[in-house]
Amino acid sequence: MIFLISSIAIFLLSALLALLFQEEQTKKSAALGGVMMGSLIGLIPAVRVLGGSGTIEDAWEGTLPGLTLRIGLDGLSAFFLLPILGLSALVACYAWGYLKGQKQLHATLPWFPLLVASMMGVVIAQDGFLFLIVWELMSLASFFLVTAEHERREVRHAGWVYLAATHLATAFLLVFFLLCFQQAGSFAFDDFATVPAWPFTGLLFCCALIGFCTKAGAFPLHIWLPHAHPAAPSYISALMSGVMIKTGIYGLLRACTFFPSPPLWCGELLVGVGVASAVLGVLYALMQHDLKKLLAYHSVENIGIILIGIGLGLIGRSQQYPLVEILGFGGALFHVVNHAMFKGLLFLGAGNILHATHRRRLDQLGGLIRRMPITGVTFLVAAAAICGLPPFNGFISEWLIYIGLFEGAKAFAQAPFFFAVVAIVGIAFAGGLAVTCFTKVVGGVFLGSPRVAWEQPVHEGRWQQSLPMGVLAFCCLLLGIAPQLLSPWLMTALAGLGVGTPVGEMAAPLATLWQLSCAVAIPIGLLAIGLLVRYWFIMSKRTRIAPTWDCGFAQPTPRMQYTAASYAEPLGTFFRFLLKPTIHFQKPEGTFPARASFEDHVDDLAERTLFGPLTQRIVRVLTWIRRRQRNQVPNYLAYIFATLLLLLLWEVWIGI
Amino acid sequence: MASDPVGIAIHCAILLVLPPFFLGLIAKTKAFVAGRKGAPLLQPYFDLGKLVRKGMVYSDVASWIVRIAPVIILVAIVSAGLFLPLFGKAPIHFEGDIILFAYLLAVGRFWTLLAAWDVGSSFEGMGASREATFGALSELAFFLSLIVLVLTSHSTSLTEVFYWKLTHFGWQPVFLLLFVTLFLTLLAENSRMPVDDPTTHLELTMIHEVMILDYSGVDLGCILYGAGVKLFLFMALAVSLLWPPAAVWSGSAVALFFCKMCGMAVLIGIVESVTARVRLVKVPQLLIANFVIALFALLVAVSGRGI
Repeated sequence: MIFLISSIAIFLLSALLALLFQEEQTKKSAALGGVMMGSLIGLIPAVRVLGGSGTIEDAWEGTLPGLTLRIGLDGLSAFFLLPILGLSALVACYAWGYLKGQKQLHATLPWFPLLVASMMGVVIAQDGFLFLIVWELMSLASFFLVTAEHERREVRHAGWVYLAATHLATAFLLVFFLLCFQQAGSFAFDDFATVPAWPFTGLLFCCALIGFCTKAGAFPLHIWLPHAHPAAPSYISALMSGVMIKTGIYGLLRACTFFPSPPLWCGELLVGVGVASAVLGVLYALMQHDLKKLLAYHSVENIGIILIGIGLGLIGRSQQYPLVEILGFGGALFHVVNHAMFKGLLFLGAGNILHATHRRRLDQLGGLIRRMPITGVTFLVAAAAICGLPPFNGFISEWLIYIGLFEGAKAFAQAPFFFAVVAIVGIAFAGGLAVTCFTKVVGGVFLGSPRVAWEQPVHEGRWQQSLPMGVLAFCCLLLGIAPQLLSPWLMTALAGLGVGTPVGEMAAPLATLWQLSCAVAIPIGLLAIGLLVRYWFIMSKRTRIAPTWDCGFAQPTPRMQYTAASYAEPLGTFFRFLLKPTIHFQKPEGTFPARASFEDHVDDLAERTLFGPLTQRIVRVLTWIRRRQRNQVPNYLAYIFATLLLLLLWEVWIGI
Repeated sequence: MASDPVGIAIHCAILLVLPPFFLGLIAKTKAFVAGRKGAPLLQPYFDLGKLVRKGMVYSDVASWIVRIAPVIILVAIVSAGLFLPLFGKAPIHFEGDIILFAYLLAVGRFWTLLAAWDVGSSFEGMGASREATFGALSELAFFLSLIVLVLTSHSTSLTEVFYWKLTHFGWQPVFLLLFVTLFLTLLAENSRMPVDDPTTHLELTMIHEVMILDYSGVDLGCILYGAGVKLFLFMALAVSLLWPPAAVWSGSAVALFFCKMCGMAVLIGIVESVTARVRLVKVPQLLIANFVIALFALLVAVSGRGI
């Protein structure tokens, strides 16, 4: 407990110091050093709890009557604390190099430790009241970090969208926790879990779903993600996309522990939302021209995969099928950790690219792997991992979810069977599209030759930037080859979720993790042999360097390379009924055509058909109300009188 | 995991040695149908031998990706072959290997695409774009057929799946449908006729061939050999649906396997001879039609379960 408290205290102190100091270097050292130190200290209790030393709990009597603020660390909290603090420490190290010479970003530095502290607070809060407070603090801290470069119009817009979305989420969560409070008589999570029978579970579940999925960025509530991530500085995008959106997943899982026997449709709804997020997320990612926006849409995809796992776990729970439950929840939790690693890494890589070239458009990059080898290799590792390719960690979590889905498809009938099949095909299709998408990114950004001339020489980032990226890439590989390292911790987290310790046949899939690890190790061994054989073959051979084969064309230029946009065009054309691209096309005309241009962009389905019309209508209503406001005292007195009258009638008839 | 060492050795030997032979057999069949004499059956081996002896030319744009990609692609495909039972049990088998099999093939595709990007050629980018599109779409039918296999045999290990098939020998309608969909997947994934023309000489219309324009020497050999092994795997997978592999390896089992595969190669040759390549924009429709066939197979499998 002392470690938890001191870790939070360090975060708060460093935020305060960073606010007070005005000198750049000191400000930076205070904020980033504090985050690193606090995170490392905070990791100690998390590892201890996961190692099986039992849960930690503490409570303070608040000044308000009947209000106790509880913090504590059980298996589930500790499992989420691991990626949150781990990635925060690495991101702080990265920021040390990244912030050099970026004056405009220093002003928002005090919010960085606050964001980490509040994320930590969200997972260790053990009652609804404290949870809402830190949740709101987290939203505000990240809002200020997103709007660091508020001189730009699109950044202000992104901040506004994010603020609106996150408050929509908080509103639903407020309803959720108040309804829980009404039933349980206290805000403590433990009391929620002991309520014998919940009335209107459906309403509660939907409130939690909307609230938490908005933060997590599941379709169709994801609309803030593609705005906020490109707007935020890259190290903040890494933190937000890597772990902050996972607090939504944590909230959802925590809410699952309140209801021991959820109705079947909850799990099915989650699987449905998950499949929609996974497939649409990656489809929209494929159509993006902006690197960071593309990565943001990939977060939607991965959240979809996690939601499929959680939904599967819930279906397994309501169908009394523990094996499916373990695999579903286990796969989802594993993917949470994995996604934190590779998505953090991808955004840090994007930060390096942006820093070196000042460009985010895929069609203006190229050939960076020769100039930025470390960024290139680590980005490639992360790309392979996010596609779920062995031998990287993404494959392991997807494998667990697949096995769970296959088990479900074998065991279930009717609707659950249908959802299992849809989810398998959905994940597989999303995986295939992700391969397309990330070959597009890696190919367009790192391979070939530069498509435009850089203004300044392109260089690799500083060592403070390369070090965390190397660590993350190594972790991706390590967990891909030796997933069994994580399985004891996974078990503790599953126990925190109320899933019993699997024994006998139930433990089989998690026990086969070592088989999987051997099976993955064999191709790596073969690869080493293959490379040696190849080296032996080419040793004596003549190698020469020549221009790329261009089918006889005499003057190839870098601009003639295939672009990322044209690479994705066939799939975009095939799915145009869904994507509805907007095209501006000026045809070349005349014998000597002077100008021709082609431009297309894809608007988000949820924004186009759901939130656009919705906000328009709301604005119309509000405008109507505003017109009625004439700022006259008698009117307001009349409003007050009418309200009081209504309240009186309510009290008389219904009673409060 | 592993069992009989002799069986494993023979499995590996066949996996490594035989694939180019079937490429030769397909070519011979096509030549025969077209009324030509055709290249010798062992021509692919001669080609590989020639490539291994040659020097290499690398593009001045290319990075190390294009240099290591051929080995990675080959290793990924060959390792996938370790999970597929040819006769008896596969060298490596455990519950869930069916997914590893599919994803190792995806690793091969990932690196093929990356290497195509690496040389900065417009043609190779075009080929990669097509391969990525068709690959993603054919994934739909492929995974749906995997679901059907798992549902009918109640196992997620390829070895168990086909062992079940052996104990329930017969040409059930679901397996006939699956054979059709896997055969179409085979043609699409291996750039065969209705999707891609392996003999074409116009870069604009090629898919697989255009992605490998800039390889030479040993690297080109690796790629061609890897393509042969991939075709071999899909042939073995498809033919096992009609005629599952024997339970344990023996001389007659190996001979039988060889005959089955020859029959499959002749079938591919004939299909390739009598079909024309469809227009590239129509290929997605073909793949979706294939998905629908797989969906039918699923319906048949489920109706048998009584849901």
